[in-house]
Amino acid sequence: MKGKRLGLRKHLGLKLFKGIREQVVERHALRTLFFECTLRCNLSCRHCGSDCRTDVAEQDMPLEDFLSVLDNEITPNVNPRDVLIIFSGGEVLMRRDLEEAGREVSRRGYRWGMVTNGMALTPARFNALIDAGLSSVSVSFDGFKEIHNNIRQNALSYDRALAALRLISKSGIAYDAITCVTPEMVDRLEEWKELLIAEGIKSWRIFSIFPAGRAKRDDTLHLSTEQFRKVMEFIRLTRREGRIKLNYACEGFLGGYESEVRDHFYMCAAGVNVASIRVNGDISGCTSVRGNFTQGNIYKDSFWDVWQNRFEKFRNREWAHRDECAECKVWEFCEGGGMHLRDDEERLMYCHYNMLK
Amino acid sequence: MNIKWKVALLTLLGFSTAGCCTTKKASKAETSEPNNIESEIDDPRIMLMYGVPFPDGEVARPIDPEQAKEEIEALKREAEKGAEQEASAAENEGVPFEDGSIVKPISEEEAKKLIEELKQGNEEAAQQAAQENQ
Repeated sequence: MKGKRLGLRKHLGLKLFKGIREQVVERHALRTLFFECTLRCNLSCRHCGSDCRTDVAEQDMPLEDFLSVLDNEITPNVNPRDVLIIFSGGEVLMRRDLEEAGREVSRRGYRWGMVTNGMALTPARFNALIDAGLSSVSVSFDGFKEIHNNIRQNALSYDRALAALRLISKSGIAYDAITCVTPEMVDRLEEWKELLIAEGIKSWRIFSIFPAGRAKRDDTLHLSTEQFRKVMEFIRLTRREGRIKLNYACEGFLGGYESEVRDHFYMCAAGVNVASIRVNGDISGCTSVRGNFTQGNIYKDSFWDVWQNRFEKFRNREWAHRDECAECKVWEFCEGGGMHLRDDEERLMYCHYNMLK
Repeated sequence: MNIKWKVALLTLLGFSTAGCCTTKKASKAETSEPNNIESEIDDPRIMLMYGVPFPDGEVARPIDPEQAKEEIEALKREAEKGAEQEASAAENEGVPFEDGSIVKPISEEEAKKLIEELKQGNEEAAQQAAQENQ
């Protein structure tokens, strides 16, 4: 097993990548824009990071408000072909005007994608979305039927997610299946991989649960250090095998597993080249970053001014060099982990590197 | 040292995808895009936790607003058709309970028949219990 230790070659690689990261931070060119278009959801998943449900108090943002920001603030300052717009939720398919939204952003020259649980993805809806320019989809697929349905708290959710993946895989657009690994799946990952390969799924992403939203209150969803290492080892070996393209999500610095479990070295891109417009108009990095890091609001501030002149905490992480990070040997490569792992007091809630002890 | 050199060195070290920066050259078609913001070197492609894979296919092209309006109307009709299908699927497949079991909707006639069966069953059980007591 790899563990925390970095060899000389990896150390050199990380040093070089650190230089690249610094230049990317300095340039902070907008590359990904999340539009949290709804908080409504047709599921009530046990591990949901945002406590989504069907009857949320927060109304969906009117499409014209988002388009107005796009037209007046973003398009004049970027080349649309360089920016990927991701519709996120809640469950994006709860929005009946998603096709219109997609067509409108495509019309402006942007590519767009969406993350879905697949529950409401009928063939007719999917065709309409493709016609509206949909070019990438991620489908949540958390494990075998009983496990997936239990996490998603819905007896139809597994079948619907699988049907959605089968539908999407035939279309030729970019897609992947996302598995949020829970303790009961750790020893069954090999079996799960075979099922995905048999289904013809080419691209797969794994992430583990971090303590936010409903997941914070449910200890049974969290991996032990031993289980976490097993997952890393599984990803490493699967990537070597090369039968399915597997990546661990961007979450945290992984010591000896850096470059072995992902296509890239670790970097938290939130607020560096990733921005989000939340359902209430808040401007932030990724949608999973907590509210205390909000940088502005589209109803009060100019998005482009916020993007250019705020986001200091996202781009200069020195403030995070405290507590357990203060003495950490890999600080220069990690810079305090993902922004979404910081709590209301800006303290680190979860350290991936320490999970590799 | 600029990004290109760093990426080249990373590749020499065996981290061919670790930098994941792509160099873009503007093609003739791309020069007709709405603005002239330069983008020679892209950033490393970080696979975001709640993101989607980077689409490598064709870049969407701006289209005429009138044409878009018509297309949006057609899309709305498609989406409505999808919603109807979805609703009828939910009707046929039933509603899931918290324990995972599914109750499928039944017709009025089926319901009457079930009630009759239950009544009959209850009467038989009552008679049987009465006989046993005697």
